[in-house]
Amino acid sequence: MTTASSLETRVGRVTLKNPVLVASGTFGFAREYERLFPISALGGVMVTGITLEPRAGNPPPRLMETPAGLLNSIGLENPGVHKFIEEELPRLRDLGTEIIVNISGFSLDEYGRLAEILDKETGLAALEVNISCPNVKKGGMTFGVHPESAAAVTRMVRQSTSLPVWVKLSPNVTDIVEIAQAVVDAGADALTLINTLSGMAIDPEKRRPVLGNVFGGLSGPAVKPVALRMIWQVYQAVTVPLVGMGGIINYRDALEFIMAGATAVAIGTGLFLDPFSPLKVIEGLQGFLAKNPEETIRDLIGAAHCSP
Amino acid sequence: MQVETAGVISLSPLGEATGLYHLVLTAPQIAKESGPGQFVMVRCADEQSLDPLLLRPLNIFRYHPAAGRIEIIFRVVGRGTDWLARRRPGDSLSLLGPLGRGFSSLEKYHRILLFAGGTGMPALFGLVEQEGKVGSSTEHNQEFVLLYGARTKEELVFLDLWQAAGVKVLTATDDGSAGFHGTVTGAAEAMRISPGEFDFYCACGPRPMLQAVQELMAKYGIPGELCLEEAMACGIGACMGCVCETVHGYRRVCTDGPVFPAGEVKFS
Ligand SMILES: Cc1cc2nc3c(=O)[nH]c(=O)nc-3n(C[C@H](O)[C@H](O)[C@H](O)COP(=O)(O)OP(=O)(O)OC[C@H]3O[C@@H](n4cnc5c(N)ncnc54)[C@H](O)[C@@H]3O)c2cc1C
Ligand SMILES: Cc1cc2nc3c(=O)[nH]c(=O)nc-3n(C[C@H](O)[C@H](O)[C@H](O)COP(=O)(O)O)c2cc1C
Ligand code: FES
Repeated sequence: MTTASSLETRVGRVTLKNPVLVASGTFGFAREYERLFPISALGGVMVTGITLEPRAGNPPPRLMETPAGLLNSIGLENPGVHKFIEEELPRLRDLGTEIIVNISGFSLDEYGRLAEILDKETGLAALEVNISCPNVKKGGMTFGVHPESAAAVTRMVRQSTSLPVWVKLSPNVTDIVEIAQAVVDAGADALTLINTLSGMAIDPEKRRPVLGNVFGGLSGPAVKPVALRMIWQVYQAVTVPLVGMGGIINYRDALEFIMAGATAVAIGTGLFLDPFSPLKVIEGLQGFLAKNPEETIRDLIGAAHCSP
Repeated sequence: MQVETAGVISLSPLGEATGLYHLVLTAPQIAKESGPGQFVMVRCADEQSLDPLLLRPLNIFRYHPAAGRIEIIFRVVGRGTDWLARRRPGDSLSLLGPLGRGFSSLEKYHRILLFAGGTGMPALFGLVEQEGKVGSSTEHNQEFVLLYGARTKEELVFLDLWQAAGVKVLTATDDGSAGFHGTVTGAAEAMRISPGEFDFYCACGPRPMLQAVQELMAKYGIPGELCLEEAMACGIGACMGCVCETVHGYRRVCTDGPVFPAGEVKFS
């Protein structure tokens, strides 16, 4: 018999009622989608990336559709951690789902401060550490592209909070397994992947880049095979749970991620095709499990790795 | 605001080879909640298709709460609008709406100048036809003048509807085939508006037009509102993708706009 609990999954210490989350930056602070469906139906919400200070974000245009994909250069526009705690967190706590706060820093200290500040708050399930940020003290080099700096960020956050630490991996690296291992060794409780792939577009008429920031991050169905391959590799190399994302728009996509090794999945760009897509994915997974009453979603994690 | 499955009642090309279409839909919920200057996001692809991926924002031209209908005017410019132009009566469409902060109430104004450029026109019609809401222009003792610009005569559509609503219509075309030969701001200057003749204005059209309108009206000291366009993803304020630069910093066109008070938007 399929019950609600057949969808229950555990990302380390965090129990999710179902494995479907919404990805950071695509769901704001849940204010808008709350008007369309009950947020409590979701396994969890990964809120928009928070920084220590408020950020205005990048100059527009910030969006460009590409074949089956979306380039964005939002630039982490957000109210800063203090305003977030005052104005958004109280409401988020009451949504009836797990709240994961995505944090971004521009120095090691900033990551540490953010983790410390959020550690004092109740009602948070985990911190998701976005390491795809430029390190301003090291000439703007992205933390997430070197095992050493990725591990340093992880260690800093780990030391500054007792909350579960989920580290969000960048796909813009030569060897994602090397980074994953370094981050796990540094104390990550779980890994989330993938963030967007760096890309750009040019307007031939204007002879200029389309995005105000020149470069943007590619997401959506176009990146799914890349994301899936990375989950597969990382699953084979580490033992911590993985949250998979990148181009999921329906339950079959979600199943692919789970069978590649993801314990849970997140939907970002899929919301823009259909705001109800997370709910449809949950329903689809339920339907899939109903065909095999003995099985739960947990049995499917990494299922594609077993030799026949 | 909701996702509503709309039924296509009719879809008709406007003029000859203009690429403009008039779409009439049943969408009772959206029709009930709409206001002037609001828009809908329309999924412009087959059920399983990923092309185009994102919903397309389109202004609500007319809304009829009693009949449960809305009307849209759109120009075919790419894959999404091309798909939309191939719908048939009886087809259904998925809409998200009504969206955005539309025009403010014009109740306290008497002589209102409207500037429309191309497919910006539909955003303005609700101001003179607020069915079942504020009432028609004559009831309120208001006078509307519409300055409507397009590339060519064929693209000036529904002039009769505007006139029937009691609006004085002046046209401008890029090629001089109808009305003033030039831009709507050129036409406004040619008609020698005197300060004080109008007490408010509303404008919707391409960015360069809005910029020129804002500059011109600022010269006369007349307040107004501008309706903007920007590429969108979520359409509901969640992704921060559709911002424009304003005197208050970046603002979301989909939820803080699409209508902004004149003087707030920075155009450079
Ligand atoms: C709030 C709002 C209301 C709108 N109302 C109307 C309307 O009532 N009638 C109408 O015809 N159009 C309207 N538009 C513009 C319409 O959304 C675009 O023309 C449409 O998204 C193009 O989609 P496409 O797939 O056909 O073209 P694409 O293949 O996406 O693009 C084709 C060309 O159109 C340009 N384009 C893409 N998106 C936009 C955009 N949002 N604005 C301007 N140019 C764009 C591209 O740069 C490209 O050059 C509105 C836009 C906004 C933001
Ligand atoms: C508009 C937009 C904003 C995003 N903002 C953030 C962010 O603030 N922090 C972050 O870690 N990832 C951010 N992402 C990345 C997503 O969380 C996700 O990793 C990525 O989009 C891949 O998933 P998808 O294909 O389902 O969108 C953003 C993505 C998009 C499209
Ligand atoms: S389109 Fe997402 S915030 Fe406006």
